[in-house]
Amino acid sequence: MPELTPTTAGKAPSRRERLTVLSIFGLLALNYPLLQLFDTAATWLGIPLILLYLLGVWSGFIIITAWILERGTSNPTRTKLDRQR
Amino acid sequence: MLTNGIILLSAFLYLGILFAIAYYADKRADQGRSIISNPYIYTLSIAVYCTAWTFYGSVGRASSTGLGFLPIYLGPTLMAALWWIVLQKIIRIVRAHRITSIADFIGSRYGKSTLLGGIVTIIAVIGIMPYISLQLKAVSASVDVMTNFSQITTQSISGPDSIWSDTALYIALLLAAFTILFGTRQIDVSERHEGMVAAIAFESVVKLMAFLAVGIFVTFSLFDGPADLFTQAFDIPRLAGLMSIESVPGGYTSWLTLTFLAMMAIMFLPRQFQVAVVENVNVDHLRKASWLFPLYLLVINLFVLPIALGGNLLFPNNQVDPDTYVLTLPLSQQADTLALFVFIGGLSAATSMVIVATITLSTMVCNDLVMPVLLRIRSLQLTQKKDLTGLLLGIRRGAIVLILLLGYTYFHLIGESYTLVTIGLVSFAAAAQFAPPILLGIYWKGASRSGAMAGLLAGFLIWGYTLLLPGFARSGWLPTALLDPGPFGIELLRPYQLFGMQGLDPISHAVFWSMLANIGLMVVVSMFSRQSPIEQVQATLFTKSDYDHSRDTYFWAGTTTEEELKGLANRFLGEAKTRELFISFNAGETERNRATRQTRLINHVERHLAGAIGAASARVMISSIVEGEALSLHGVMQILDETTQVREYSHALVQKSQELEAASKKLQAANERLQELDRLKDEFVSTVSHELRTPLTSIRAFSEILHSNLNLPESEREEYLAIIIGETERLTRLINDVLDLAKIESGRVDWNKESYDLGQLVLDAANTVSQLLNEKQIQLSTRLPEQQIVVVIDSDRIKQVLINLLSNAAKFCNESDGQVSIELAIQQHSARISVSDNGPGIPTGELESIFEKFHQVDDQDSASRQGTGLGLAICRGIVESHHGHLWAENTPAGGSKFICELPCNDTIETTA
Repeated sequence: MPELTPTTAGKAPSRRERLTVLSIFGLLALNYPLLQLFDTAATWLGIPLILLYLLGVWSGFIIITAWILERGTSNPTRTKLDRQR
Repeated sequence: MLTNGIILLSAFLYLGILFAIAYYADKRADQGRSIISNPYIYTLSIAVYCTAWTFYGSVGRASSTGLGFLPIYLGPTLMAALWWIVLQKIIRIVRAHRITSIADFIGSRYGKSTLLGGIVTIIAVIGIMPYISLQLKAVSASVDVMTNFSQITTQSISGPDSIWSDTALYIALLLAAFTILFGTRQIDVSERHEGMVAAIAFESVVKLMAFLAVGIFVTFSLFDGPADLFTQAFDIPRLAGLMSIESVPGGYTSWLTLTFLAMMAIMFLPRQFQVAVVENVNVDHLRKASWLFPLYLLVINLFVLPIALGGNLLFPNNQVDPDTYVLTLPLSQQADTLALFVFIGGLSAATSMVIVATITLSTMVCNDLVMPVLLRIRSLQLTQKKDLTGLLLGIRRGAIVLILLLGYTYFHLIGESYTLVTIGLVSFAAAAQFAPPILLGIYWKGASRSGAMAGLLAGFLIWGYTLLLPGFARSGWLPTALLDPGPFGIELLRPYQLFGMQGLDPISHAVFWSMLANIGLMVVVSMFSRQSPIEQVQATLFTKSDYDHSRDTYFWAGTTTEEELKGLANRFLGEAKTRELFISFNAGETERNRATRQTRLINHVERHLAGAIGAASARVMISSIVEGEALSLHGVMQILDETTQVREYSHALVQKSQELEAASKKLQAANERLQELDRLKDEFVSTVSHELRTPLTSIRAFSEILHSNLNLPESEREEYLAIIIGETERLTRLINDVLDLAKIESGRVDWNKESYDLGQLVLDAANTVSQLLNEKQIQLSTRLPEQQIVVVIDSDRIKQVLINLLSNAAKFCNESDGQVSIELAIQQHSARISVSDNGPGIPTGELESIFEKFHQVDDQDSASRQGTGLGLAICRGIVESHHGHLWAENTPAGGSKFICELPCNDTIETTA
């Protein structure tokens, strides 16, 4: 059996995988039926719960996207995709 | 009070600033010091997504549907997370092929198809027409509100009057002129419009600031913060009802549809494709844009709901169009400066969209629609003309005017009866038709030209039938009977309930049917159609995961001259650019790739031409001067086989690496052996030299004494001479031994083998050493078997071995009571001679190493020893040359025992 190369062995999930999963979760969180759970007349500090929920998910999504993409990029010159053959 | 003069002046001043920014950015770009090459400008340029729709329309939509405005911004947020995967790939493809627009992209992907590029262009122009009309409507409405606000509040305005229409036409023409000045000054659109991007980015800042300003004004100045605003609004049942997804027409289905549409629109609206893909300077900018752009959307949407609710609270009688709340709210409070700022913000939102969209569309019309047709009309003889740059610019300018006038016409025909967002969504649904051919095209190699064509046309027709046509019908330009009971009274064909589908809002309904037809036909037709060679090549190039554009050198196998290519480039690119192009090509030339120079040069020119006139037209132009086969079948097959090859390669690689591993293990072993041998050789040489030096030194020393002391007493001289002679003998012995050993080891000894009686040999050897043993008073006992043992040996050599062993035994046996025995015994297939003594024995660790060269058990008195240290090594060498064994053991009694075993298969003769 040939040995696994260091790039595939024991590596953390790639950016692509994380971003894909994040998008799927985002799509689920921002649609029926999850959205319906918060679609009530309830308010919090005078602001409708549904609006807070949407803005919250939205902000969270942005923060996680930024975290995934910006993490470990102190040396932005080469990413996996940038590499030429 | 704002006068018309001030309003007009500020508008023109603003456009002037835009122009100055663009001019400055272009100038910096020419100097090679780009001001747009950073992720922030890139993000802001993508924010051209927020148009008058966002600026005016969102508030209008929110005041009638509550949260219904949001999916348009949630979709792009979700999509932005995938940009790193999808958009990155598209950007790399566009970069490699110098693609200039979305039509060019789709055309290129499906075999550089002119027809497909043209279809995409037509769909784009018709599809974006409502979107441009939306901007015109918004700007003309905002101008109207600014100039006639007092009338609006006093008398409810309804329906178009002639002044409104005139305003829109005037604005359309003004924008056309502005865009022409702005965007069509240079010819190669693949060279980025740096000026445009800089201006767009500036506009994005202006519209955000303006919207935030009015939002803060409404929320915190007109009301006491958001909580107060919401509380007041909830007292009114109609407004309280807005705070639920249920109030969105179409409910959750519509919510999902709008999210999907927005996800597609952010990538595949022609202008978004332009700013995000074509104008992208550095792929890495996507990293920041992927989260900064959603952040921009979040911020610009924060105050939409507050403004909408505030407008509803302050204008309770619906006398003001909610689409204009952002302007009318400040105006009603006499906040004229703020209103003017907001007006400029709205203008910036609208102009940014119009500028980018018309430049993009005009490029598409020119490159993918008009030029291919003109080039094919032989009577025009365009391919022979000297300079076509002027023609290209002319076509583009004409297209800009045409597109804006189309937008104006649409606005004039039906714009009045719809809200901004409803108009915009029609365009979104059209742009979504581009998603299947692009997304399937870059991931599925089997997607074919006929499939893409069938899908696009079907999707577009359904879109036109279910969204565009009903609009005209509703506005009274077509009979309303079309909608109900349906065309020719056929209920199944009602545009809003196609094939009887009920329960969907018009947008979801249209999106469902058009996407179903688009994707379905695309997939099915692709599966049942054959791809032409060039389609296969392009499909392979576009779907490759690791993008490498050096491959497309295979396209042209024909021949042409460099002069012809130069002439062609001159006509479309101008002389300066052409010269640059050839210089840059020649700079990359080396001796090594001379053979493929021509194909690569043709390809190089084609790619740059593609930048100016689109891939399809460039291909037509090149084929007009290249003679011979356009496609080398061999080249095509090579690309097509690539995948298979890669798989084979990797398989072969695994095998090779295993072989290599084995070979390297062998090599390693051999290397270790070599190193060991080298070490042994070095040791041997140094030992030999050392051994030689010891006698030499004493010979020299004594010789010198004799030489310098001529008067030495006789006795001393005798003694010294005796030493010298002794040492010389030792030296001779040593050299003989070394030579002997070297001979044996290298196998160059001539063995004088003959049958010999071993018993006799043992007796002879014992006799030879008897003198020595007697001197030391050592007892020698000899034991021989009764029968005679005859073996084929070199008797002299074996005797030498026995003598050596015996003298060794004598040397090491007990000093006071020395006993040495030699014994010959016969075994099954061998004769065994053992020599034992009663000495101290040999340390167990040394039993084997004593056979090494120059090894002496007792190294301390090496100076006084008589042996050369080679004796045992020679003995073993001799015995092994007879296929026998020689080894040492310790006897139970305490002495040592050397055993020599010689094979004697058939040579045993027994005596009676």
